[in-house]
Amino acid sequence: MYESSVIDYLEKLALLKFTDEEKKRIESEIGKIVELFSELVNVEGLDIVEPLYHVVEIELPLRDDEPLNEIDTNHELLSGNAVLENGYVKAPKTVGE
Amino acid sequence: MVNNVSYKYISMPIYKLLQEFKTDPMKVFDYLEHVYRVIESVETKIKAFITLMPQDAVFRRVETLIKESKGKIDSMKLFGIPIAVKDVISTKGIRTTCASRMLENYIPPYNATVIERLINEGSIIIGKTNMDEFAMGSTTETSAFYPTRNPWDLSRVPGGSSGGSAAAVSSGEAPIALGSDTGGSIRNPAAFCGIYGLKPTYGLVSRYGLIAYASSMDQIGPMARNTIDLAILLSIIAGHDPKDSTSLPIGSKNYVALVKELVYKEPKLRIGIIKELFENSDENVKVKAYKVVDKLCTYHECLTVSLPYGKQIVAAYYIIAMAEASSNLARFDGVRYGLKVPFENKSWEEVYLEVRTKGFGYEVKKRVALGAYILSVGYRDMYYIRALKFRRILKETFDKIFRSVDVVVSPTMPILPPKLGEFFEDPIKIYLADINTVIANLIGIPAISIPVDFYNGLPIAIQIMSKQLTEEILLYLSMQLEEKTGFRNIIAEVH
Repeated sequence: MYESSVIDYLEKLALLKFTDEEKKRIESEIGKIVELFSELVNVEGLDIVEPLYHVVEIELPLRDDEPLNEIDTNHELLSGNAVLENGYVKAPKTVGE
Repeated sequence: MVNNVSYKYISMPIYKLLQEFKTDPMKVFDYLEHVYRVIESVETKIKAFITLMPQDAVFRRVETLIKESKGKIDSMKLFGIPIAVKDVISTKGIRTTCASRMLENYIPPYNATVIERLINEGSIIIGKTNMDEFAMGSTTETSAFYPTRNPWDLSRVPGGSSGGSAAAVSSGEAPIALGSDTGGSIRNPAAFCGIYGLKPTYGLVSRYGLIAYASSMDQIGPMARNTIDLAILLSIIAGHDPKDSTSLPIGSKNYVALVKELVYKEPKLRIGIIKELFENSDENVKVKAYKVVDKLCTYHECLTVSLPYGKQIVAAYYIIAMAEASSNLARFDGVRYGLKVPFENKSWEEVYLEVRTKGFGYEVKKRVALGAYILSVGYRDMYYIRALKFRRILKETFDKIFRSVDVVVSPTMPILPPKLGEFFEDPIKIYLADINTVIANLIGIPAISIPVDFYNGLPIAIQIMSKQLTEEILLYLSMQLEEKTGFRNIIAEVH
């Protein structure tokens, strides 16, 4: 069983809240998951290899900065999902009073 | 069996349907009529779809298709063929939810590249299929809406995360489907539902429009009731896409022609049997899987290969997947996408927290939170970097294995399809059941799940993996097995 302070830390880190029921579940699971993750501790040879971030180790392709499709002047790409006001996306305030 | 449905028609492979449709395009309506009768009868029990296109809308689409395609029907590779699409793949104008409250009302303004390609070949999307929320799960039980049931036994799960796609194909609701596979999400449900499923080489199929879970491992792939149908679908979706920067700079291949050529020439291959993955499987699975491998070994040369890692593979997979997920799912901020909550007089942080708390289900929250933890100061080196280093060691291990054999074989899943709720108390157990499938995603190689037999009415499948970009070899062996086992075009009788 993990201490609830760890769950509080996870919530803060990930900016979300677990319900009371979810907290009980994660408290009982997290120890087992961390135990599984710790399986990697004793693998031999880890120190001498580079991390493999991506299986396709190719350079990021670049192309000319030209639009492929028509420019979305009517904000069609956002209209179904964002709140628009005078053509701008409305968002919560990011700075204090 | 559903009344007034010709099962001979419903179970027909798409390469035969195509011939019929091209001779008489009106037959598309006929076939769809039967498909919708099946759906009407079984869908309330199976719940394979999140969004099902109404029959009249689909009929109108076919009318338009026939008009627009005059003169080009013969060259279209999927003319009139209905397809079920996993609800993680963006479809313009059709709700795409990822089985999450977060995207419950999200209607994409554009098509994924794979969808564009299907439409160009004349395919008809009949619905968006259920899945684990954001593809995080192996049973389709983490869907925010409802679980899907296994058509072979309604008390059991269909596997996941592409469980809806697999259940739709195996119950006759659709002849083919698209799934996505990050750690086995195509192969696991294909195995549990008794159909064929293929995870392509990383970078072979465009991910443009696939809502990301773990970008370095996600791939879209085909699901079908026989090998040739699988090859037809793969040929269409594979090939370079400039809109996906991880797409490999290569064209598609005609996998159907390649498979037929290989079946004709019948080259003898060296097959590596991964001993540990057989030995760690349930007895029933192991016995049946060994038996079918024997069928391959009467012709090909088989040798035992050893994999010196077990739980470490699963650990590395979940660390990388959770880390990438925590970053990918940050985009659902309720502003550009995601659940809408009122944000008058609330700060960004308050809104963001509320959106994520209400929008994500338990499994997603858990993985996002653990992903953030894994990437946080002090733990990044301990978990994330270590997992990535292990990933290289695993890749080198398989590079070495593939110097002595052409392919490796194992059961697809070490267990039979579990009952609904069976793994609720012990999530580690279900994570560990992914051991056979996550390997291909970690190292980017192709893998196929081939249904081979039944045990007590439940399907059993084997998995074959090969070197990058040798999908045709997997399809060749699949075809050979299909001939030997007769496991093709089988539809589950839903009770």
